[in-house]
Amino acid sequence: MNSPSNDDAIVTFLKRNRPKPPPPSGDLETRLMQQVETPIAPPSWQTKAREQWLWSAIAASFFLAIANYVLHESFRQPQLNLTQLEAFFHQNWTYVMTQKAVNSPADWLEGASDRASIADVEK
Amino acid sequence: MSKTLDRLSDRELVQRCQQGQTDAFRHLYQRYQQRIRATLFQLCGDRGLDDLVQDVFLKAWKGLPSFRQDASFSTWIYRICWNVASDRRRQLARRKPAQLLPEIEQILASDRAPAAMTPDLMQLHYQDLVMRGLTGLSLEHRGVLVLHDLEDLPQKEIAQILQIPVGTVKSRLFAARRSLRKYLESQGVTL
Repeated sequence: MNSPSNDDAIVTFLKRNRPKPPPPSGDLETRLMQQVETPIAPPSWQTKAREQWLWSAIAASFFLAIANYVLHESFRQPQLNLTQLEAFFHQNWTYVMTQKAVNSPADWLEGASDRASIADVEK
Repeated sequence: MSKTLDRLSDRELVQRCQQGQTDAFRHLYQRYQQRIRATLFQLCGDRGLDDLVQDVFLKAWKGLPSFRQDASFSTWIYRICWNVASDRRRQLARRKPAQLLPEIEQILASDRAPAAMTPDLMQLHYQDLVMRGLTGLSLEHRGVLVLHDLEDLPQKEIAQILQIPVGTVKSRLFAARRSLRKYLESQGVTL
């Protein structure tokens, strides 16, 4: 353990041979005070314009996303209608020709064979 | 005006700074810049020293509006100094150790032994050894040693600056002195 006298010796040595910093550059104080005296600038018009552009871009992206969703949905809807319409035509035509409702593919096939026999009779 | 400001205490100067008086801040700078500069030099070396000093005082200026004077201005600015030095040390951690002072390098390159040095050169040599010894310490140990033994700050204030208990300051100081003594003795210094 270091005794107090040992500590005194090293402290004295350190104080006597304390590393000295190099002198500051001549204009350090001036540079610092210039920065201190410069008031904090309010946001420039460029910053404001940039902010406006950002918000516009966000709004436009949101609008496009909504529009895309709506268009996608509206394109899907006619496809469903077409399928239903086709089924309706098929059922309706089969019923007219055979006076029998067709609900399943088996019925439809049956209807097809009936139509063939009718054609044979007509010949 | 300048003489009036000279007579003001730190507390009064701080209050004036908080009212936006840059002249008051200039006085605080002039009052503390040497101590802050020396501390930064002993903690980080001379590379980019002006920038570090400027960084400390700019941070102080920006922080003054929210400084409530719970602690003294001295403690507060040393705290900023310590933070700036710690950041700097982290940046320097991977770089090579400090260079010898050019004067010492010249002497060692010649045939003259250190014993033949003039007193001035001998002191430069010792200063260089102290600097090297400090560089070999961890930042925590070096901080305590620099603030206590070189800057003459009391242990209680150092505890506030470093935000550690006084007991930790004491133990770090003990360990730092022991390491530095060992280094100096290994370099032929008799203490």
